[in-house]
Amino acid sequence: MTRDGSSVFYQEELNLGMTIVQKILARSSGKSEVFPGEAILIKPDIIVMNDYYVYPFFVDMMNEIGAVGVSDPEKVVIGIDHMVPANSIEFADKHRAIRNFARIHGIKNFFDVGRSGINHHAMAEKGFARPGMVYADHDAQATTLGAFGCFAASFGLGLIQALVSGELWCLVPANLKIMVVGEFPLGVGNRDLAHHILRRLGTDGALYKAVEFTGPTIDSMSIDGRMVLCNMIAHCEAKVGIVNPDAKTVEFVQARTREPFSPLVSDTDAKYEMELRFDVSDLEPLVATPHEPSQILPIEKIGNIPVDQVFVGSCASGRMEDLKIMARILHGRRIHPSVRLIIVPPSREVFLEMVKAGFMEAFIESNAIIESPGCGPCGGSQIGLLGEGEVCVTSSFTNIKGRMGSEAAEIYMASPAVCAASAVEGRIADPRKYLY
Amino acid sequence: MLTLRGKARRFGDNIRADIAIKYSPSLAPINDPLKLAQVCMVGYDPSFPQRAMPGDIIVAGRNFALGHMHPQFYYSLIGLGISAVIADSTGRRFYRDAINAGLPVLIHHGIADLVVENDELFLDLNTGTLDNVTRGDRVLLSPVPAILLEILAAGGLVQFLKRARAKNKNSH
Repeated sequence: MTRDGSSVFYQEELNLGMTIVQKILARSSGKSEVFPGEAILIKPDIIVMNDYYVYPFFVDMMNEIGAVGVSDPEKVVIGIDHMVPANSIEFADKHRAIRNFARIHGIKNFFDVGRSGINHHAMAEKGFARPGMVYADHDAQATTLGAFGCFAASFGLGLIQALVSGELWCLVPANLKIMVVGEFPLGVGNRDLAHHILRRLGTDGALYKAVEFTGPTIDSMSIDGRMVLCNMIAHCEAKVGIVNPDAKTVEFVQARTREPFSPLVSDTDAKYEMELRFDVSDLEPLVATPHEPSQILPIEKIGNIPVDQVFVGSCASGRMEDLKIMARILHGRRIHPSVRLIIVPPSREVFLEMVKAGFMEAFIESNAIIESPGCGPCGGSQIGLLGEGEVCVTSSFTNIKGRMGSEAAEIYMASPAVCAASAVEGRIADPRKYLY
Repeated sequence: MLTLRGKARRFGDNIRADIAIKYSPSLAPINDPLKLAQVCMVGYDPSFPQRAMPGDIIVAGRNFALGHMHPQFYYSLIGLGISAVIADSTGRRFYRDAINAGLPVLIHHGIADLVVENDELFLDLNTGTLDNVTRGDRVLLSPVPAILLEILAAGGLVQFLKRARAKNKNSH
């Protein structure tokens, strides 16, 4: 170090002002700082896989590499979440192969059918998503876990590198700050905000960026709501979505694990490539139209759209906050005779809570169908598929063509409140009149 | 393999991965790049598999391989012998997955304006220089990071890990 004033100042400037994502990646790569665009090797703390790719993909790659075992079985977590319980012989055999894989490699954190739910929810509830850590998955919606202040990202089949070597290559993303202010009007919520952001950013608005959600609205938002925002930001091609951990986060995680963790937060003078501000005070229910998640219209512009199916669940919805508002709308009402309403709680924990809260009764009395925790109709091959020309309104993750069955079906996406109101009226409906 | 020579095959903005190979569930079980060569880019140019020559370099605009992408997309490029992709920007998953599969991807804003169809290109991945032999231009691209060059030199992530494993075995 020189005693020259200007270079000391320069040094200070370098050492100050890091975002939460830069701090996590620096710590994981053993560097004092990291810069957007830089390629680094990180050491993920948790490596998560589901029943789609363990067998044959990862098993085949391990054989090809000649790896006899996984580098650290303690870090590997496997949850069966796409086909629960198995709905075909193909998946029954896949599940058998996964059980075998977990046994051979000594993976203790293996969650078989019925034990967990969708990984992006259940793994948080089991304490595997902890503030300050790197959470590596192969599934595209792993961004959901950024709600817990961790760097939660999808590495696709490249996750094999972590599995056999304990390391992963990663490009340091640029940082985009999304500041949210204001209080939600009645009947408008997190999902509408997610659509509002998606409408503004578009399909590449956060391309390979770390999106940090901040501001008074995020501070007062529940964990459930933060998960929705971090989940839906994947539509803008973000690498991760993230919320700085606070007392709420720490309380959630500490109630679920004894594993240590050390939270990191963004410095107040951290540098962002871009900063956007959103005010939710005048927000209205926003509906994504077929077949593109970012084609979004306010509900009054949607017109008269009769629906055949309503689905609440997937990695993007169905948590207690969503179920609470649905129960409020559905209580004492029957759904429209021409509608099928499918509710899939995303995890075992939520399922149990939903039963204890008495919502189950209200849902069944309304003629809804409740399915076991998992991906449900989203994914297009488990249950609740759409036929040709059918219309669905859903609070699930995506509405791309063919996602829920027939390519000739149409999927609208909206908040769980809109879904409940639509189920009652048999067409896409505004929930606000049910809530005053 | 870290220097490449080939003809430019130009594509525009927002090329969607699933549309490019006309993805349907019938493609799902196919993972042989040679078999997938015949669907390479047909959604945008039905004659592409016949027109393209091994070694050709795809030069595209913004958001190459946007949206949902099945592995069959980059397998089809590899199967047809496309030696590299240079684009103004690419889908997030394409960059990682293609490099892991051994297909070099370079991102350079403005590249789509500097290259036209059939330009003869010479690409040096080590230095990140692109020579447009036809036009006599040289473009300095953002270089491929060293870690990724090692993966590309090995022929993809699986081969890279296989070599690393063999090396470790020998040193123990």
